[in-house]
Amino acid sequence: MIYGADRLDVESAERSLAAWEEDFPRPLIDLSRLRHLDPFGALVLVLEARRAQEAGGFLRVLLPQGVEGRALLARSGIERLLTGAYRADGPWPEAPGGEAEIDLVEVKEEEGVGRLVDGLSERLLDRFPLGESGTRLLAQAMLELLQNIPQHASPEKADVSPFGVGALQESEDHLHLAVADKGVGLRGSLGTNPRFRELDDSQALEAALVQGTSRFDRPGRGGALRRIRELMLRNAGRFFVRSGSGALWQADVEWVVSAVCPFPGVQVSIRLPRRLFE
Amino acid sequence: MTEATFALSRYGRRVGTRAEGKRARKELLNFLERLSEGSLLVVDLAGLDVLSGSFADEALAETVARLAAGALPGRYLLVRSPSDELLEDLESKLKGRRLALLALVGKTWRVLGHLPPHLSQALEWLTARGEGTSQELSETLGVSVAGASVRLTELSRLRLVHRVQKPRSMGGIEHWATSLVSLKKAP
Repeated sequence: MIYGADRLDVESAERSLAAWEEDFPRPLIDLSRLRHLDPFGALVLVLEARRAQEAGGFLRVLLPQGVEGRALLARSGIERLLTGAYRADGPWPEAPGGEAEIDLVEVKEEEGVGRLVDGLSERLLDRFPLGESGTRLLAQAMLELLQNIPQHASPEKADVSPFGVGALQESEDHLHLAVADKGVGLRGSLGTNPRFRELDDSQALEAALVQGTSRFDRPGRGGALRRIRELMLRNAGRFFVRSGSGALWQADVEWVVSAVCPFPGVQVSIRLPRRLFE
Repeated sequence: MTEATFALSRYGRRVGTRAEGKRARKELLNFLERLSEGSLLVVDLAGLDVLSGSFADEALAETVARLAAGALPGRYLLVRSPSDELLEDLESKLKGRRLALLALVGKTWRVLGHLPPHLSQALEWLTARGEGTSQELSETLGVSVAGASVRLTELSRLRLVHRVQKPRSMGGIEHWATSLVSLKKAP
């Protein structure tokens, strides 16, 4: 099935994922009309590539035809995380120079998380010297989300390579942080505790994001995702989390859980208003 | 009461992960252990931009839990922060564990975490006076001496006040409770 949208972002990723799944592990990624790519879209593409590669396949990529789309893809910087996992209808577009538009980091172990967060935060402070409160919020979210990957994405160190990535992008009206892995997901993590074994994906999302539940019984554990959701709420941010076949949207004062195309792991999108940084 | 300071900024400007919090807790407990009984350790958050819930839980809430369970008798802990905002995740973790810790923010103090109203009332009374006995507390609050004594004992177990024995002028001893802070309470 060919699905070629002009955008690959947090709003449209579900349609792309459903289309890619049809041909997995050799999904056809039609970027020929691409005009908009956000960090969330970039990360699901990277995860899809890694999944396909592990399943013995690869991405079949139709590259953007327009100058704008080619420049967008080149500046995204994602090619370095796709190397060896795709075949395209031409050479991958190269950036004419300058910095990548999306800051991408790969999380391999908990030990390196602090350095990654410091690096991204310092770059933000250089860019927005008056944006300390916004930077603080993003740093707080990054610290918890990035360490969740080594701590929860493969809780029993089973045959699951969680492969976690983070991405940050500045846009006209907001800053967008995405963190994604292809580990066991919230249901898989909570399910290691017999009390939560019966939860489905949507229930696991609610348990983690609304009730602050953790797979650990020890008090003091868990609550990080709920806390981030509350911080986004307080600061007019938009928050989206998908895990397995469920997703939670938080915008304004409302949140809604819905069914989505099954995909392993946890993928998070946080958008904070740009005014917090200026 | 002797006082020492432990600066959390030694671990960075943005702390941190759970593993980093565990390492910080070991150092914090070692530091506390080296202090003599009757000492107060002020954990200073100056210089921090972020104190994450994971780090705060391992480094501070777990240390408070151990002290409240009886570890390192006679050592006291409080936290000093340049802002309330920095304390939010720590407070949430302490509430989850039903523990309490004194915090100094500017020239005010407040209790972080969970403290039942009857203990909170006794703590406010003691902090306003600096020190006092169960007899004096019972007279102020209009409760029995036994009830006042239970309050001060519980605050002492939670390491929110320091209790010492002093000789009475007419012979024998009496228990005095001493406040860890002598500042204005946060509104």
